[in-house]
Amino acid sequence: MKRSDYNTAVDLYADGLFRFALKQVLDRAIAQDLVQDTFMKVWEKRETIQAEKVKSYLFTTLYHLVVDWSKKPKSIQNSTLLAHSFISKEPQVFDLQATIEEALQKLNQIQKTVLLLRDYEGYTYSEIGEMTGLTETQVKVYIFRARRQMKAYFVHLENIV
Amino acid sequence: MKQVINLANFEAYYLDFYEGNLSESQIQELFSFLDENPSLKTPFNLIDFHLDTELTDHFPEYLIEDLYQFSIQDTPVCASSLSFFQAANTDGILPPEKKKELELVEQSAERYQKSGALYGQTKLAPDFSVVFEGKNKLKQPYQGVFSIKRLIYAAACILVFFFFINQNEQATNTGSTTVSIKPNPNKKGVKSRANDPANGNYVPTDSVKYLPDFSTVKKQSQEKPLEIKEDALIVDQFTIVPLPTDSLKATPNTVDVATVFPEEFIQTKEEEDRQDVTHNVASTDIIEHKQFPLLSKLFNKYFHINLGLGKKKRLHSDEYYLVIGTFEVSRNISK
Repeated sequence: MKRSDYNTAVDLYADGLFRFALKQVLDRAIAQDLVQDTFMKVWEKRETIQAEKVKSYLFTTLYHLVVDWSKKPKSIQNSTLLAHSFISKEPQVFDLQATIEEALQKLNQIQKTVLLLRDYEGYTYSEIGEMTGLTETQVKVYIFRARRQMKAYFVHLENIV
Repeated sequence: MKQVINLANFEAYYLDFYEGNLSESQIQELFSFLDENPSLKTPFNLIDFHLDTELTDHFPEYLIEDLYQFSIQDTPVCASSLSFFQAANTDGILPPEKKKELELVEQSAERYQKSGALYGQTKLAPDFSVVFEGKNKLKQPYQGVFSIKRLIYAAACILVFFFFINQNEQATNTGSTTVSIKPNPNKKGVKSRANDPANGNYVPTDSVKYLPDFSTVKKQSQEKPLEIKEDALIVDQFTIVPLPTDSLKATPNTVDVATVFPEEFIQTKEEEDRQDVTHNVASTDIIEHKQFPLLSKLFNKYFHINLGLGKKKRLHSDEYYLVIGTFEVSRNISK
């Protein structure tokens, strides 16, 4: 991958990577750091990366960085998560976007990852499988479970409201 | 407050059960509920396909995998499989005929439609207003592109250069300025009388410059008035170095150039008739240099005027040419 390809990749994918990271870690600063680390790793390995596969490589790298981050002590994570919690304190007020966000945050990490890659970036099941180390069927099942769980959350909220 | 499992919320319990998030008491509660509603725990491959059955949103995990792994084409859309198909539809992977089948099923009951709408809401849309700030910092600068730092260095270098040029120029202007005329040793076939020591005025050699001072020229001009040409001509036989800019017609920022040479240089009528002794002269180059006063000032010590580009002009015996300006004019023989 040439320097120009790398810089083009920054233009094309930095925002998408950031959105993906932000949904996972819920903290802008951490998400920015993760994206920055992602690009740094890609730049270091640019000689071995083909320009046409850089997007996949970027998301794969970011996914692994997010996983590493999630393995950090909970106390570190909680301090940021609490500050940026999307969970509504007032469930009586129905806000669709906020509800979707809450439902998304109820998912476990792998469900969230596959769903975001699918819906945000439009990756195929096999591509998501390559990035996350899952089989195509596993990806489908995780996505199905994610949607079902989110839908169940909507039903649950409706009943409360 | 203890949550009671009912038809509206059992899905959440069901999911929690498969995720291993339920406590023992909640599991007991779930099983009791399923016992009361046996249709909800019917295995996927054994369910009846009546559309008016209760909406069930559960089937064993291995069946989901089977469904994805093998053909969903042969699986009917029914109450029990509705959830799967609605999720698949949201994912955009249903073949057209299955999509149609799903629509028919959804139209049969309002709760199915509602379920479909809720699945539709699980389709996430990125918020494009969220962007990575400072994206340019991630980029790798191209080699060779001037950074501000480099530009500052370059500007400093230019200033230093101009400073030295200026110093040099001041030193030059304070000294006596001379006219140096060297014969062209390559100019064969022309016997220049300027090279003849018997002439009295010029004693040129190859190694030592003949440097008549300006007074010499003046002296000569007293004998015969100099004629300064507006479009100065320079004979390519000579190298001419600066004359005092304040002596004649030159102004500080312009280049006025004329060529001076004594009568002895002028071709005789006999020589004039011979092509091989015609002096090559060029005036256009000099005129062109007038258009670059700053450049000429900058390079006043080193600038070489290009002469003898093939133009030929006959010189007449009564013409005198004078070089005026701040240039060093070098010989340029095209032969």
